Amino acid sequence: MEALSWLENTDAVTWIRESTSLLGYTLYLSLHTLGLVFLLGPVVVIGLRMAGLAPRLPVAPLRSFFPLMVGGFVVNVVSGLVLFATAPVGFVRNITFLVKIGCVLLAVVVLRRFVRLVFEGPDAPDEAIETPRARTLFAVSAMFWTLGIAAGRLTAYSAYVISQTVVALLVALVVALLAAVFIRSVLARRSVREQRAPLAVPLKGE
Amino acid sequence: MDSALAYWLRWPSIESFLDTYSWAWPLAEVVHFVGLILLFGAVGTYDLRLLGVGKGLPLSLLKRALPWGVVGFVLCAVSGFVFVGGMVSNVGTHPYVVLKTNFWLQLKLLFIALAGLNVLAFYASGTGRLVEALGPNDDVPALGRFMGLASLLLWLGVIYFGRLIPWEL
Repeated sequence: MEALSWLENTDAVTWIRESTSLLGYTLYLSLHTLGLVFLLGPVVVIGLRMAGLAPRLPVAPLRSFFPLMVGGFVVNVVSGLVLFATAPVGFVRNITFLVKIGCVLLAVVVLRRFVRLVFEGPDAPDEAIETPRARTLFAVSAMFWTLGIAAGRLTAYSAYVISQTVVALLVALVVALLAAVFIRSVLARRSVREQRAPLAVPLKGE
Repeated sequence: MDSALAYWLRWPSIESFLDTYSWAWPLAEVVHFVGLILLFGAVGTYDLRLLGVGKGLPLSLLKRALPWGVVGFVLCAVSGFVFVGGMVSNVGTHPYVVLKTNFWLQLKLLFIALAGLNVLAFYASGTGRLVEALGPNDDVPALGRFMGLASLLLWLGVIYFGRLIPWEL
């Protein structure tokens, strides 16, 4: 605790916390969001591919986005450490913050295992991504990302508001899941009808 | 005109909803973030492919992700509408005053409008159809690359300015 409060009061950290310059606190805050979208952007596309919403998209070329994802992650580790340093004593006592860190660490570890399985395994990525193990790893990672981001957003609120919001979020998630199941069943019925159509028009780019 | 905009921007129904339900504002924040990740995931990946990252991905198949970017945009627009319409409930300032004085909000709205015009230009100029006819490893012509870069920078700007808005309230 003493080390943390020393850190909080160093000249550099005090300047970052109190400065109204664009190089102060808000820079690290925005970098933390910009890094996030670079890290998770390609994950969205992988998720759409796995959900059958971007069908036949070749998986292997997504590898080219890994350096940008790693870059986003590094930006977020650095900006996150700076943001942490501006109020370390408060953060280590904040359970929501600790939940966030735990979720993000788990999300990264599971995503890394997913990448190793799909992109670095013996099977071709297009096939490896369809395996139940890949699906499970991706779903678990996506769940931890969602929880981590939600907890991150909630860190600044009081315990009462957090508990209220967690319930509201769960309700919203259930509604979203039901909607997804409904849409899937509609799409599945439509694709059955398309398959029955006598003349299939080939898609462009094939 | 002035007073009509001021009248329209403030939504007492949203304010009283936010006053009654303490979860509504933070839930809208989470939705705003999920939306921006969806938006940037779909649109940003497409833009980067225009710029030559991810060769091997045919744009004709990658475009299937774009409707989900629109879903992300809608999530952000709806939650953003809650922030503006219910602003008095959270910070006590009239959204019309914020709109007139907050430079970052103005820039963010401008960049969203420019990103929208860029999308219109992309499809109206035929560039969209042109790049989707390309093979998986083909380079995108200069105009398509430029529009991809514009889209990427505009959306990153939207995220950056958005992050700065609350610090000028």
